[in-house]
Parts: sequence; structure tokens; C-alpha cells
Amino acid sequence: MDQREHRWSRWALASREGDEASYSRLLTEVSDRARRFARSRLARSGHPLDDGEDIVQEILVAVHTKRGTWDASRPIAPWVDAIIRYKTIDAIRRIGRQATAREDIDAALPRLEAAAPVERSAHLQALDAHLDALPSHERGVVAALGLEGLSAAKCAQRLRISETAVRVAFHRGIARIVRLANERVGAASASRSAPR
Amino acid sequence: MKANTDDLIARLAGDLHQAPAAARIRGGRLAAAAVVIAASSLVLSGLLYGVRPDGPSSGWVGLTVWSALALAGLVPIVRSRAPDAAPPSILLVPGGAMLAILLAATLWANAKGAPAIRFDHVAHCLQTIGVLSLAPFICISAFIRRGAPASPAATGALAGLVAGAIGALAYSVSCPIHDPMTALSAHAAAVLVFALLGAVVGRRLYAW
Repeated sequence: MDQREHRWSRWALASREGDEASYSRLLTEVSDRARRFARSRLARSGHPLDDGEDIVQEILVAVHTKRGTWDASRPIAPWVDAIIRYKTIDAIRRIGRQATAREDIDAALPRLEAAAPVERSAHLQALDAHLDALPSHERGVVAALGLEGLSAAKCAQRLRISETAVRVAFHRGIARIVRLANERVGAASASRSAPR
Repeated sequence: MKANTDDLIARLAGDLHQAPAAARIRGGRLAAAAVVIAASSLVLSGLLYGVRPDGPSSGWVGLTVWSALALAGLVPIVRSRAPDAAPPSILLVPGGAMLAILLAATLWANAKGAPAIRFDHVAHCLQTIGVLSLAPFICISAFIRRGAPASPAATGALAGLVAGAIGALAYSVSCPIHDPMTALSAHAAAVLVFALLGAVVGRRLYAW
């Protein structure tokens, strides 16, 4: 049995007894392996490597929610690798579909705006744009928790997903909005300071 | 972003108290569930379509074929819940081959002028076996969705095959077709359709 298999199975077994520190170590090593795999697949398929960390987080949530499917009498590394492979391929397909859909929306947006001009404040427009940039499940969770003020439990009930999935989606949605807002501020200040 | 992942790991580690679904399935419970599902389908078939006084329409061969297919499918269905399990092609290949042979035999019988498969037989069997397969398919799907199949489409085809076999097994006590080979072939065609439908549905239903 190789060192990694020995280490991971020991940590996984300890986590079944409620050992949070062992579980945290296991997830950290899994995330390193997932990151390498996701980035190599993203590079091979021509997608930006920025999406790699999102995939890693999806993999960690899958490992967590499906941890009961690991049979302790079998090695854990192939089980982890199977989840990494499945979630990465699934995510890359989705990223490809979203890129196509975004191109369609970009093409249709000027026509829609010309047909129905809407007067809104710049801040609300920016918030809408950031929300629209989120994947649909994250947008639903951020709107429910952040705008409607629902609890995680009620949001999970409404969307028929687990509370853990709600927290993860909210966490990632907010992080994405912050990143988009920072990029927007950076772009605006760069254009102001540019020599005329 | 790496900081977010570290934060997520801390959150997940703090969420350990929520017990996951058990990895090991108790064989006794599973066998009992399978017997209850098959018996319910048999009773439903009798209630909805009546019982033939002269034994099953597809003969004892049909009963054996569908029982064997349904039972043999249980093991790969249980295994398919784990993401590191091999795709359930072990059963799909012989299952598909067996059904293809049955259809070929029917076409051959038809060419020879023997009573053979007819479109109205297949359409009728599709409808009735579909009704009887629905509850088994829902039960099997609920079981699979608690797991993490690596090949949702193949697992769906397997679920459709097994649910269809249970439906065909149940309907054979009610089916009005007189010739056993004709009944067996019409039921086989229906089961094949359900395996294909299962693959289509399973691709989305079992994704995780």
C-alpha cells in the first residue's frame, strides 16, 4: 500500500469517528490533487485556468456529500480519483455550454436594450450585471439569502438542496461578485488615470 | 481563491456531524425490498389486468428469463452507487444481446409464418409493462440517487432493464397473448424500450 493510500484511509476512517482535524488534512490533500487535475484538463480544453478553483470546491463538496459511498474495505484513492474525474469533466462541459450561452446573450443584448430601454441607477445596473454573471444556482441562492433575507434552511427547502450546498453556493457567489466588482473598479480607475 | 477553498475545507470539516448514507448495504434488506417490489407488481398486474387461468403467457421460460434478469441486475445496481465502481456494462451486454436474440427469433418465426410479434402486441405490452415498471423504477432510482454513479446513462439503462424485467415478470401472469414465444418477444421489445428510456432519463436523474 503506498504512503498516500495509507495516509488518506487513516484520515478518512478517523473522520468517520468525528475527527475534524484528520478530515481537514484529507480534504487539503484532495484539493491539491484536484487542483492539478482540473488545471491540466482546463488547459487541454482551452478554457481559462481561473475556473480551476471553482472545480476544486465542487469536488470537495462532492467528496463531503458522497463520503458515505466509500466502502472502508476498499482503497480510498481510486474512489477520490473517480470523483475528481467525474466532477472535472462535468464542470468543463458546463463551462463550455455557459461560454456558448454567454456569447448568445452578448449578441442579443444590444437588440433587447434597444427594444426596451430601462432607466435604472448605475449601482443597481452593476448589481444586476454581477448577479447575471453568476451561474443560475449561485444566483438563486445569493438572491434568496442576500436580497430576500431567507435563512439557509428555508433557502435549502425552497431550492430542494442541502444546507451545505446552499452555504457553499452563497459563499462562492459572493466571492465571485466581489471579484467582479474589484475588476470593475480597477478598470474604471485605470481609464481615469490613463493619459489623454 | 485558494483562501476560499481553505475556508470551505474548514466549513466542511465542521459539518462532519451530519451522518452520510451508509456505504455497505445489508443484503437481507435489499432482497426483502426486491421481493416486496416484485410481489407488489404481480398483485397490481392481477388487479389491473386480471390473472390468466392457464399459467404465465410467456411460459416458464419467460418467468425464468425475467426473474434471472431482475435478480442479476441487483448486484451491479448496488455496485453502481460507488463512483469507483466499473460501469455496469457487465449486465448490459448480455442483457442487450439476449433481448436482441429474442427479437431476431421473432422475426425469423414471422418469416416462417408462425404466430409472431405484431406492432399492436408490442404497443399494448409497452403500455401495460410501463405501468407495472414505474414503481420499481422509482424505487431503484431513489436507491441509486443516494449514491454517486460514475456513468449515469449506463446506470439508467440498467435501471430501465431491471424495472422492465420486473414489469414483464408481473405482466406475464395477465398477458392475453396465447403463444409463449410471441409473448416473450413482445415483452422483450418493451423491456428494450425501457432500457433505452432509462439511459435517457438516468443521464439527468442520476447526475450528482
